[in-house]
Amino acid sequence: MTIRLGVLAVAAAVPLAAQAPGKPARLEAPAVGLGPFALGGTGEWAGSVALGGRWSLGFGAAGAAVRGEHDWLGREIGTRLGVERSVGRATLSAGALGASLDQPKVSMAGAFLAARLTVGSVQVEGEVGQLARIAGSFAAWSGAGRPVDTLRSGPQSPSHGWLAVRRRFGPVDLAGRVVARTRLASEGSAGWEASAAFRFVDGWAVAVTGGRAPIGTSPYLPYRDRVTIGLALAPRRSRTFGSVERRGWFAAEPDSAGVVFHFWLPGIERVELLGDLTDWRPVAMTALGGGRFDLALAVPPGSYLINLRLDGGKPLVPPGLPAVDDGFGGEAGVISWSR
Amino acid sequence: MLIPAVLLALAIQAPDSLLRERLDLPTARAVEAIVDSAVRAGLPGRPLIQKALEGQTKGAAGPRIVAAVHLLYEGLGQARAALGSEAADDELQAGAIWLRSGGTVAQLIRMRRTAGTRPLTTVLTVSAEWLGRGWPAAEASASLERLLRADVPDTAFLTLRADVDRVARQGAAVLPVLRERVNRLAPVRNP
Repeated sequence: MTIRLGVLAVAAAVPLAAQAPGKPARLEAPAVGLGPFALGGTGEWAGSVALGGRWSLGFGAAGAAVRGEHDWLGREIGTRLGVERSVGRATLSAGALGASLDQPKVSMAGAFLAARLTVGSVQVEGEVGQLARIAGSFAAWSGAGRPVDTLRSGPQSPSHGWLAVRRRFGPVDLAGRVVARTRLASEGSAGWEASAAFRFVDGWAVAVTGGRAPIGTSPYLPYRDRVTIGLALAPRRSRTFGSVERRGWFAAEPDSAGVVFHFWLPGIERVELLGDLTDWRPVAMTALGGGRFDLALAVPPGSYLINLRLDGGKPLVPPGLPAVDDGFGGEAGVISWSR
Repeated sequence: MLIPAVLLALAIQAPDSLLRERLDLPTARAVEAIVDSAVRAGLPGRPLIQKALEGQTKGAAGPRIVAAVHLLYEGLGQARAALGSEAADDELQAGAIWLRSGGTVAQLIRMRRTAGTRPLTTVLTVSAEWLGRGWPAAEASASLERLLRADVPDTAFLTLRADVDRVARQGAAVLPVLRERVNRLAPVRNP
């Protein structure tokens, strides 16, 4: 059994919807600047084996995204480049895979297809992929470092698949994953891993992962029993980290008693409205399921400044409202209505 | 005459309980002094109180809260001078937002003159956001005067705002679309 200590798992994400420094993130991607880009990475020091890591870069706009990932362990490299598209609660992605082994020196290329579905606080994600050898030879290799039978008799075009389920319980994210791939001569074909991440400060989390699975894209990275402990940093706690942010929807509907506010954004558990009409006290909106929230307030027609807070985060401008500088380093949305 | 004046004085001097509940004493007193000045000048006090409460909720320090309230007080005063004594409180607030977003008092005066008695709340609120998106204030002011002369209703401004926001979310440049839409609503007349 190999125990790996993650010295630093860094997910340095530039928020997809970031405004200029000091301003709060909007719920929708802005037009210019670095807003649509997200950069993430992880690193591990795997005991006496090797240093490994993973970086990802995503670019998203208008409901789609291109995302690249690059991971390595020692001299072995895995790369993927894909296109993502959000359709309702689901995100579909497809793209190309590449892998490069060091002993023996073999390069592989292929494709993957993945899907992710978010329902409330539960997220289900799966992927299938196929690689083919494009350079080098397994059969010709006779060096040290790997079991000969494993690679000579193993598949030249390995395929893999995995299925993961994640659920958020307040500040804790729990996940489980099962992995399957073309069986190698000396290894089984299935693996698993479980993880728990605790968000103790906005943007920071401690994560523990354990199981029997490879860590990267390269199909010949061996399965090993392992435990990884890491520290993650992300400027925003987005359930769609590294992919396209879903578009929220907000509206105000005047009625005889005042006004009813409607908000929709899947994957959010708690929404609070605060503004001139609440004396800037956060008021929880009623969750109706499916990412929908409502709030009725008995206030007269007029013009008001308001913000939303999602899952206890920073105040945001509700989607679709004009935004003005609030004088405190952020923005507030302006809403007005008449009878 | 004496009794109403006494009552008015008491009203002006009575501290707002929300400020005392939510702010530390020095900050509450400083904000109350600004509110008193505003009310004496015929300006609405509620937006100033709300600005202080907003700062408290967003974790701003006392001095920053007082500075923001004072800035809004100045903006309301300038908006009153530009939009006239008949302007409603929400129109004054919209005018203060326009000034805060980069507009000038002179531009507000011209828009008031062009619009006549029509309330400018929606026009100023929506166009202040466009100033924030980079629309030069001088061009914005001239375009808005054209739209007001053409009697473009408030609903058209809100529709235009939604169109511009959609363009922005798609990652396209906003100003060319904004200019094109404005020209469509109120074409420039050749001399």
